[in-house]
Amino acid sequence: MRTYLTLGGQVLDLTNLAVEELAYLDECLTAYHSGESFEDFSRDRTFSARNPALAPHARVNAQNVDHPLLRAVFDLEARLGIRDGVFGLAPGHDASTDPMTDTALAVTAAANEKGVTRETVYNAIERGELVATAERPVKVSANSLRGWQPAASRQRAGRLSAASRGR
Amino acid sequence: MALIEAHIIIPVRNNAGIAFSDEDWLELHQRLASVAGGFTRRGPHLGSWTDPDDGVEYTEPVFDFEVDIESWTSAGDFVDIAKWAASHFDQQAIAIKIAGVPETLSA
Repeated sequence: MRTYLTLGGQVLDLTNLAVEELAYLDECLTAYHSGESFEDFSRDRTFSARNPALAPHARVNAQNVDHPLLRAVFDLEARLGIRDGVFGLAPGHDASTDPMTDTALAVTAAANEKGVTRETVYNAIERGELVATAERPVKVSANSLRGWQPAASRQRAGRLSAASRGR
Repeated sequence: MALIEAHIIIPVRNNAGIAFSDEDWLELHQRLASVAGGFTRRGPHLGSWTDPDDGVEYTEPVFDFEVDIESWTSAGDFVDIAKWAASHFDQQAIAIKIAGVPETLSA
C-alpha cells in the first residue's frame, strides 16, 4: 500500500498511480528531501508540463483537478514553503510527519483500535472513508484510521448486526 | 477553438503570513476547472500593491493563474470566481486580466 499524508491529515491513496506518475512523485520527493527551494519547486515541478497528472496539455482541468499525484506534489510544495519560511503552518496542520510513512494494519487490528466491529471497518473502506489494499487479506492504512471517526449510529448498527448473526 | 486568456493573481500566503490550506487551494482549482478548459499556474512572482489608505507600497510573493476561458459567456463566471477568491483568501482586492485587459476587483 502506498499512501501520502497531507499537512491537513488527509490520506491520498497512491495505489492506482501509473508507473510514470510514481516516477514523477519519486523525482519530486527526491527534490524535496535534497533541499530544493520552495521557489524552484513551485516553478519547475508542481504545475510542470512534465507532471504526468496534467497530461496531455499541461493544464489542470475538471478531469485531473483532484488527481492524487497533483495533490501530493502540491502538498510537498507547501511543506517546502513552510521549511523555507515563506509562510507559516496553517492551524491544525502537522509538518513533522513524513508524508510517505504509513503502516498497513489488519482489519481486526483496525477494528480493535477504534473499538468497532470488523464489518464497520469494511463498510468504511467501501464508502471510501478508510484507505485499504484492494487485495486480500485487506490491510488498512494506519494514517487514514487515525483520522477516522466512526459515526456512533453506524457503530450501534454494526454491533446489532453482528449480534444477530451470532444468534 | 479560440481561447480567451485570463489571469488571476493570488498571494502565496494569507495576511498573517500563514499558508493557505490545501483545501483552500483545491476549492480554487475546482472552481477554475469548472469554468475553464484548463489552467496552469506561474510563479511565485513578486507582486506589489499600494494601500489606498496610506499610499504605502507592499510587495509579496504571488501566484499567477493562467486560465483558458472557452467563451465570453464564461467570462462572467471567471469574474465571480475572482470575487469569491478575494473574499475567501481574505484580500481587500484582487487583480485579474481578461484578454489582456487588467482590472482590480474589490472583495
